[in-house]
Amino acid sequence: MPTSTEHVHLSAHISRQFSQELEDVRRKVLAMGGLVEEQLAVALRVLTDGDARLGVEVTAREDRINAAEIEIDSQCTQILARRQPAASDLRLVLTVMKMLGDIERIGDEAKRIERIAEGLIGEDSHGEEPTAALAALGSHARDMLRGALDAFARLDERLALDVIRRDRRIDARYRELLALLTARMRAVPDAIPEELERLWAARALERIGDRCKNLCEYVLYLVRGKDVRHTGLARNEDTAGE
Amino acid sequence: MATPDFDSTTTIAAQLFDDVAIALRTRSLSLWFEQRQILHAIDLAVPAERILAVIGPSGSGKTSLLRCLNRLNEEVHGCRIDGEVLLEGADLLRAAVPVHEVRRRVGMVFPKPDPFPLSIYENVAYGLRLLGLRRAALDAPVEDALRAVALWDEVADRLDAPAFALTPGQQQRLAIARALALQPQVLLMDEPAAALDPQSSLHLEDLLRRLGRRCAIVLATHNLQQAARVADYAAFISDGRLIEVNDTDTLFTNPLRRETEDYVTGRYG
Ligand SMILES: Nc1ncnc2c1ncn2[C@@H]1O[C@H](COP(=O)(O)OP(=O)(O)O)[C@@H](O)[C@H]1O
Ligand SMILES: [Mg+2]
Repeated sequence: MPTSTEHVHLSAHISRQFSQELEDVRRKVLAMGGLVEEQLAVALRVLTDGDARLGVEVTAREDRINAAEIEIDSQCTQILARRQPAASDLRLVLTVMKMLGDIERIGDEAKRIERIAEGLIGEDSHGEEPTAALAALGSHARDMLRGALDAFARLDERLALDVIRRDRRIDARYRELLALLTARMRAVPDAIPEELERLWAARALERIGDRCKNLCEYVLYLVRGKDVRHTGLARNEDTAGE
Repeated sequence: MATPDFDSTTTIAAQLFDDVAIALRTRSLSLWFEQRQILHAIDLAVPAERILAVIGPSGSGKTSLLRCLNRLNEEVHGCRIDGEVLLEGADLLRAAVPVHEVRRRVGMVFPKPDPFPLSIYENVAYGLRLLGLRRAALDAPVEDALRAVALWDEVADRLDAPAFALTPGQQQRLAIARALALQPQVLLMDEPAAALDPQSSLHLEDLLRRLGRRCAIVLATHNLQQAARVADYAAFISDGRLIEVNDTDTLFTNPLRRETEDYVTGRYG
């Protein structure tokens, strides 16, 4: 497998200003990703600890995430218009523009989970099992997000493939959790509203997994210069390694 | 002679020309001016009815390469050429093809418009007259060539006006019409927009796209955006060596060679 440095070069341009602009965009995406990671971490803690005070910053953080998306997107547009980047520079800008949407929506899903978690506080005294399962699913989603952002930061093709592989595991856990929740609904119909809330949270986590997979596919495009979405390329290589 | 600090072989994208006819090709084409080697064993295929951009920094040998393809270099004192330039199997450098016949089949447009001090009409008719065509037989091909470069509507009512009266953009289109009138198989264009303002350049680029289905075009340019906008294929040369030949989209988004990447992203030396 080719190493990432073969196709992407971050060495300086003749125009140092241009190098700085690209580096700035890269750094800001990682900072925005960091905010979304925090958002998810807080949501999961509210879920497991049942302490709503942890969630006070969620709305303010969402505002910062949205502002970052708009700012980075406009910087990318300017680079496209003014610098007319080519090759790996062009792929970096295009990758970032695609990543922004997914990162922002991961933030939305995290906020949704946090709101659900707040709603569940004090609801039921026998929710330990599904809560633990949700927490496990959540920690998978967090790992995937961390992995996707690291893969982008380091242009790490192998890590990107690894995260893509993990998405299938999150899907499997999601289905298990679904079975658990349906069983509980059947057993205690009174608890259906509560279990449905958990179901939405699980669903949101599963979607975060999907979006992390998207992020990694963009990273593969950046590194390899080929679009691997819908090609099964990532999947094939990934099973070959197992 | 300095040795290059990179792999000097040419990288050609796999299956690049599988589905296209080749109008002209060079085989191990080398060029010297006095003791100095300017081009190094260039193997370049020029696809028929397509636009091939030759890109590379100033002094990399783009002009020298184009001038080899229609034997303009041999007029330069101290010039020596090695290798072959094949058009329909015949070596233009050596075969008994008369030089005017080479220049008819491989036309050239220069960076600066260079109208002859003649009327608009006579500029286009010039080469045809040399071929021995009579006045009566000239009108149709002259009109056709002027239409092909979208100049006809602008000059139809003043064909006898001096070519110098035209704007630089029109003069450059006239130069193209002059070459096209001879129905060349290959049209060489050396920085054809160099002397034009941005608007006229864009008009010229549109025109090239339309002409690209009429004959093979080799467009030498150091304007990367222009090459990216206009060409079907692109060849990158550096220090007189052909580094990479690829389709334009790939060359500008994901080139095969590090040297190409550095050049198109503005990291070049
Ligand atoms: N008539 C000539 N005599 C000697 N050297 C020349 C002549 N024409 C061009 N050269 C040299 O050949 C090299 C390639 O030049 P050229 O083909 O004009 O490059 P480009 O068109 O890519 O700018 C340059 O180093 C240039 O100085
Ligand atoms: Mg030149």
